[in-house]
Amino acid sequence: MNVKESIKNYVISELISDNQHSTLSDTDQLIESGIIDSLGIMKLIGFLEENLSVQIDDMELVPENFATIESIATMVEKKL
Amino acid sequence: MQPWHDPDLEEIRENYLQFAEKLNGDTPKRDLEGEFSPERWKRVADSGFLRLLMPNSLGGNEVPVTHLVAAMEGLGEGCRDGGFNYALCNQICGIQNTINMFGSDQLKAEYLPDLMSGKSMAAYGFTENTSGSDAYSMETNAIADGDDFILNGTKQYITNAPYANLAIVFAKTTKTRSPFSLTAFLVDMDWDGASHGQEFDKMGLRTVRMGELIFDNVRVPKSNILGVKGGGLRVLTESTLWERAILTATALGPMARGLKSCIERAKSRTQFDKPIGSFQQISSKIANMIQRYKLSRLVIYDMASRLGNGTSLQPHAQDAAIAKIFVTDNFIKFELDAMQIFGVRGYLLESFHQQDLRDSLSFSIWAGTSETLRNTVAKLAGLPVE
Ligand SMILES: Cc1cc2nc3c(=O)[nH]c(=O)nc-3n(C[C@H](O)[C@H](O)[C@H](O)COP(=O)(O)OP(=O)(O)OC[C@H]3O[C@@H](n4cnc5c(N)ncnc54)[C@H](O)[C@@H]3O)c2cc1C
Repeated sequence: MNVKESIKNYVISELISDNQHSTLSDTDQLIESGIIDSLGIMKLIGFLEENLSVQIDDMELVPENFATIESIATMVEKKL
Repeated sequence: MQPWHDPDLEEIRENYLQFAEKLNGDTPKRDLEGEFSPERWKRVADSGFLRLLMPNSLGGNEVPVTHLVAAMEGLGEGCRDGGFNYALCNQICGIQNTINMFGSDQLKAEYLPDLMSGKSMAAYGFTENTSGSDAYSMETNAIADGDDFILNGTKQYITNAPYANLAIVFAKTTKTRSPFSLTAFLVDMDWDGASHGQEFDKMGLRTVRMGELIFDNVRVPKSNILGVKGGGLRVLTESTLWERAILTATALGPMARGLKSCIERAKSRTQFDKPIGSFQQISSKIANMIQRYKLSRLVIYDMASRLGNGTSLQPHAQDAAIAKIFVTDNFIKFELDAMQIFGVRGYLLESFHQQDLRDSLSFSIWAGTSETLRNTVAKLAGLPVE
């Protein structure tokens, strides 16, 4: 599974609990549309750091990096 | 190794217990009058307590977190002053640790040595009139202006606020409910526009004072941001997780002390020509109290043993919430039983049992109420909780 897919799977299975977004696209706005809330962001960071073995620096905690599946994957891929 | 089998931890706990017993003196009077003791604060700082967790490079001792917990246990068992102990441990877990995790080298060097030595005291400014459990409804805001931010707003119900000369202050740096809308600043209360507002009298933890912090166009340099602009959520999450997992250890000392006192009382108080400890309803209360104390200890040492100095607790977020809920529920029930075992004497203002009971009730509110923590646990289990 590539990085983007594993992030997407994690977001769908762990962060979306209302069964509304099982067809999430890579460019759907995650924060603006409320798909991921603050607890979800912290949980996602934990997932990226533990499972994909990357360190998310405080400087990277900006909305642009977490806006979509695409942008999260781009940030992570730069570190691999 | 289990904490109660580790001689090093026992020694730390015992040393702090003996030191802390000397801090008691007029505790009931100060509790009644809601009086904080700066002189005792200095004595505890001089003992090195505020240095325990801090980096060697800044004059700290960098001890393992389990050692800090052992010291907190001893302090809480020896010193009957729950408010004072809470304030000290709050400064270590919520403030110094947060500055150490998120502050630049310059901020750490500038502020941590004075906090460790007791020369300065700090407050953690998050709660407001409009914003308690709901962080994103806060009104305090900071607007960028050149190399500074202009900070405006009022923080309420803040521990240590009336005499803090430094504060961690959370403010909105964008007017949305985005997880990236909060920023944490380190604010010197001597700066123009920063002031101490009204005080709040409370039912428990009375020997530490609570009040308002007011910010009226305070110019805060960008270099005083903890973490990054918009990164306040991470600062908030880490600091409250540390409070949930470790500050909760302030319950252990009063439970250890209460247990000894109740066992002694159940053996020595006779009614109907028998020690009250021979009545099954009293002995089962004591059996429950022993369970509550031992299991709370186990839960807290388990959390502490997972942490290094400055370690992120994020992967343990659910367990930290569970630890706080568990210890809170057990502490409150423990203290209700302790007071009941003492009958009227436990109800008198001179009894430390009634004081510990009043202090214990605060645990279900600070660093996340027991209701919102249950939401967190359920949400982290994948439930669609609001
Ligand atoms: C001893 C003590 C010391 C404190 N020190 C500080 C400090 O130093 N700095 C600081 O910033 N703050 C401090 N606080 C304030 C504390 O952080 C807040 O009280 C806490 O966040 C809860 O906010 P609130 O009291 O406004 O309650 P509210 O958020 O108004 O909640 C009221 C009730 O509604 C419940 N509730 C709210 N939302 C939900 C929900 N979604 N689901 C279910 N139930 C819900 C709560 O559990 C509670 O029972 C302190 C509080 C105490 C008691």
